[in-house]
Amino acid sequence: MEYKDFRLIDFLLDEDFKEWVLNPDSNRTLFWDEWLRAYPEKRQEFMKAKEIILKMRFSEVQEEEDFHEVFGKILQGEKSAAGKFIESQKMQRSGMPAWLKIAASLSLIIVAIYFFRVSRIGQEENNITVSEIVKNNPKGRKLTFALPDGSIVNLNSESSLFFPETFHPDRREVRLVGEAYFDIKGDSAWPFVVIAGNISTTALGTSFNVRAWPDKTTTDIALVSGIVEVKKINDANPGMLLSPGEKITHDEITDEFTKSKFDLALETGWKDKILVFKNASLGEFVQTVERWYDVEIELQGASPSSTAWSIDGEFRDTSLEQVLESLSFVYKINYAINGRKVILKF
Amino acid sequence: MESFESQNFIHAGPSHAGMRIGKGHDTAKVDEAQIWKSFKEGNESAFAYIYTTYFYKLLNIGYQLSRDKSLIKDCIQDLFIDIRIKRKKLADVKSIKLYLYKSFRRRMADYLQYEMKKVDKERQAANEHYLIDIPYEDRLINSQLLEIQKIKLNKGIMALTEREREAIYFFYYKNLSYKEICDLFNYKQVKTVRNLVYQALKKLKPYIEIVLIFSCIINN
Repeated sequence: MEYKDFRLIDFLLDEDFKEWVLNPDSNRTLFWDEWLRAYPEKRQEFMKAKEIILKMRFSEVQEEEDFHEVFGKILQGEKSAAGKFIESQKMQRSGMPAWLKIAASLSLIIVAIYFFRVSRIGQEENNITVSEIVKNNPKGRKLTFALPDGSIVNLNSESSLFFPETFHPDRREVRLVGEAYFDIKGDSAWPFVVIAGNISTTALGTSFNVRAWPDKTTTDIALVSGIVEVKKINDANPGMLLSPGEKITHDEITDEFTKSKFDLALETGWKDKILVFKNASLGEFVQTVERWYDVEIELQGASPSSTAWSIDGEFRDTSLEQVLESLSFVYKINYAINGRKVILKF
Repeated sequence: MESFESQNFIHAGPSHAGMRIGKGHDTAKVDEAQIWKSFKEGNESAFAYIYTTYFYKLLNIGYQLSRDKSLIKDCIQDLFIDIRIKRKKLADVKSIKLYLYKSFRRRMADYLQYEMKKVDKERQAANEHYLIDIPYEDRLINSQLLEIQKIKLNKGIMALTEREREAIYFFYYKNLSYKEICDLFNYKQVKTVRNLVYQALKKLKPYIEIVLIFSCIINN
């Protein structure tokens, strides 16, 4: 149909028109503006159609509680009563041949025997003392490696990870000093536990970041995906659950946990070699840069207090010089790099 | 870099390279085929991405079919458990969205049938709410007039068949194309979807006119 013959219903049925109303982009806006100029007599119907499309709103639900509840159940892998009933009905209707039923029960027995064997072997292994491996990073170096179970660890500079050569069959436990990002190989029956200071983080198929610098009194756990449980190591009570996008901070001095939302780049950027500052003070800047580039920074002249400044920025695979260059551009300072010594002049 | 907003965040895909902050609407520019592939290979971050992106969408598609939220949640739970178990055997898909919408709708049909057998009709009737909603901006203007609008439009929506209602929902509210809806409904011809929307609009016409008159009053 020609556009000049458009009636209200034609606008409503036109895919491109609808797309433009719901999701206006500059190309389409250009087109429909032109169109309206070409056929001004259609203006009323045009506007009507637009309004109707925008009025087509349906009631919706969006409760975070549901999101987490269902996610937890999926990870547990237990189907709903309704689902089980429907499946059993379908199974009956499909009329599984008799031989297949036998085969099914047979394979079940085989699996059971197999598991029995494995767990016995596992127990025997327990008695042997498992030697511990330490991965250690000096300043200025980052390391990515796989654990015995295939989980991937990104270890930040000045950090160490302790783990056994073979994991215990009941739980995978590692100890961390400093900061690391974990991408855990999923196995909900085999918990993965990170001990940092006196805080333990237990994961079920997940990626998260743990930060526990020995020179700081706080431990941070930021969850990217999955579900983790965080608690103090000797606490018998269930800990706090984190869901993706949440971060928990434990303060050793007040012994308090605080939950908050986190910034993905700020929290985990380091593992992708992205140096991120968000509202960073001068003190934080100095500390982070020293650790990142393995340098020592000396402040000269009338330096502002260490809590002054609010630095924002992201540096992807950037040299120290470039970082300082952009800093000096904003804050009007001079800098000099002499090997591992850096001087900031105010 | 924006920070996370409650419920609206999307985290990085498997490589953690394609970080994107998403809103409720389907403006995704992420490579769904790639995410689906990593999910099939066992990447849990990819799974979490899929769940996070689609949980509320599926919940609300289900909500258009039934007001029994726990039944819808059961259905989503079982769907995800199944694709997690069978992940290695799943086919490659170009659009996770369409794959999930389609499997979910098919599954919901079974769950609704199951519920029908269990629940008596009376309770179902009591469960019925408004099917449509008023845009939030409008809600601030004049509640009484809007109430009438809402009732009117809702009456219209109620007069539609379930299929027509779904067609309207997916086309205007979820912004799917005719082609996508055709795929979703397992129709052979895209034309059929267009006809369905046309039918629905014709039925809605008297109600829409009233709504438009009211919104003229409000807007002036």
